[in-house]
Amino acid sequence: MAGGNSNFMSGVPELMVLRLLQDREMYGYELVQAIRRETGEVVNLSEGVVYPVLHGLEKDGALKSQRREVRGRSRVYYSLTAKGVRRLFDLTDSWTALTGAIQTVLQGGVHARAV
Amino acid sequence: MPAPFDALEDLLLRGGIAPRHVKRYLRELSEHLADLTAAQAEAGFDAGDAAARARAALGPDQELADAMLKQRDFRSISARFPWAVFGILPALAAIVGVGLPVLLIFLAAEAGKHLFGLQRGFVEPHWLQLAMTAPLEAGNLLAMPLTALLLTIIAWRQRLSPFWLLLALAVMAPLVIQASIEFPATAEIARKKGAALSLGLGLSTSGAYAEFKNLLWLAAHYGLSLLPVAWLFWAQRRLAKVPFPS
Repeated sequence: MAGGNSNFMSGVPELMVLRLLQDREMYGYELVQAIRRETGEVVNLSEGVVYPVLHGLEKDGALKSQRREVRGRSRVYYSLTAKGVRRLFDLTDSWTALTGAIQTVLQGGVHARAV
Repeated sequence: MPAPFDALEDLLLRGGIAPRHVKRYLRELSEHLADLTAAQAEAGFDAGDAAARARAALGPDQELADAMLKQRDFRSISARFPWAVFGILPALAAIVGVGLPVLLIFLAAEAGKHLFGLQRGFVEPHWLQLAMTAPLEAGNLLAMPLTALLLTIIAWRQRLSPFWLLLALAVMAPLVIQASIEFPATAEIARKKGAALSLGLGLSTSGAYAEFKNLLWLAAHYGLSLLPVAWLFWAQRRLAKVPFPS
């Protein structure tokens, strides 16, 4: 269980990437700025580390990428695949269960509520 | 490759990430860095400060490398299985490099027999014999050096130790595969015996000056094979001496 949660925690950037790409396709820089903005700068990654996450998701078939010229700049746009949507739902369920459990503990646990 | 990522590139390649994945990662980092730098410049920082702040925001080399090194799927075959690439592949390459010309000549002879009614083993004029012998001699001489060159390129691209190449040479060296073809002197002999096409381990000892020829051949063979290995030792020592930008 501990190992599973540990893996899950290391998958937080993956969850955010999938969720943000669910709305629209983005390139790496745009995605990092969106993570920062949407989390109120609470999640503040070293910006470059998003690319291994993107490349890994693409290799797994969760994302697809396309290089395009936009205003004279070459950019790689990433978008979600059907497999990526399924993965997002799975991760969201796990995350919701985990945060719910943590919240319960912080509020005094199941016993505290029962009393 | 842009200078800001030389050290990162080296970390990734030494860590076993395949060169094509390293190239893609560094390209996207370069593009991201350009966007970050432009944003800092728009925020009012001068060019030097904007570049420094952008590079810091991108992340330290070790952190950028660790993020990629965690992705085990991006490791190259030569990093995952160096013993197979440098221990088994050389032997196969040596066999194919020499065996392929033998096979081609055999097929050409069979085709000549069926399509043009050529007599088996009898080849005239003499220059045609030489033309048929040339691919074999080239294969004999170059199979091992070309394999050594190919493996050197693989080892260099992946920043692998040159000692893997020495292992590859040690595997190939005793093989010394040689193919040979002997044509009969006359049509009469050819009718009875045909030409002899052979493939075997060890040096040919037939013919005049065989010993001397073998020595020369061995010197050329091993000399050519060791050249790329020597270059790799030199290049990696040189790379180790070049300080990386911090």
